[in-house]
Amino acid sequence: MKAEHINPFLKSTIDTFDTMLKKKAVPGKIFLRTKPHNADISGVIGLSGDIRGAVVMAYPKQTAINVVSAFLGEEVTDFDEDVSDAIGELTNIITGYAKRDLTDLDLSISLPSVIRGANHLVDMPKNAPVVCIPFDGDCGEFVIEVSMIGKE
Amino acid sequence: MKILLVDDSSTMRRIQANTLNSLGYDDLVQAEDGADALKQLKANPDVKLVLLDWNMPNMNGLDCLKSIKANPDTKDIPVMMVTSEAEKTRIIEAVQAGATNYLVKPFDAEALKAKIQAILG
Repeated sequence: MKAEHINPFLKSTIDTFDTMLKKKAVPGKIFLRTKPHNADISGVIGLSGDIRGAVVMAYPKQTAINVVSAFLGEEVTDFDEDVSDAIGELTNIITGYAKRDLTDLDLSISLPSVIRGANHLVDMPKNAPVVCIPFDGDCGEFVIEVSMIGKE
Repeated sequence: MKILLVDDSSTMRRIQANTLNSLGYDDLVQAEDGADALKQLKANPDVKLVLLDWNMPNMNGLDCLKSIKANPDTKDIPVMMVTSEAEKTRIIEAVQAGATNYLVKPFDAEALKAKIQAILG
């Protein structure tokens, strides 16, 4: 996987948090995944076209609640279907924004799916590298995982 | 003035509704996909503006837009696409199909307000 295929996800996350949530998301050091992250809610989008892959945005519960509160502009307390919808939409916006900068790839993105459950794991295909971008900032820590395989 | 919000995400409909409420528009109808939007337009012939997402299950926004513009009863209703589809070819496709305006996600509330005010005056 090329660095220029990861950088759009960095930019789109920072910009989307800044524009729609009015919050800072600060990226940490990018690393290759060796084991799945434990998360309480994950937004998942499939990638197809020139490559096959997936984007996973994995949040601890409190970060997700903070993110959704900022996204909606109103305080959220329940960890429910509304939080799932918001996390799915945010994953969709961030992936769609990254897609416009992946100009060398003819890419389609799926509708978002959301997994909600305490301390769950999201497995990825074993033959594809998974790049992890950790973020911290106003809403707390979360991780974006990007997996691509095929023409690159 | 009645406005139809079409998005499969209830969050996005809620964000748009909050922005419209702040502008004084509180007569809102909502639909969760393109097919639902056409039903809502039939049931609410007094809709004056449609905010339309692109990527939705059942019927996507572009097909919905084409149906709205092909129907003599709805063809004059302004439709603004509100979508994460940002490529120029997509924007041109929507404008050629009859979209009045186009707003790319992510957007801030001020951008949404400005676009709506530009359409409704």
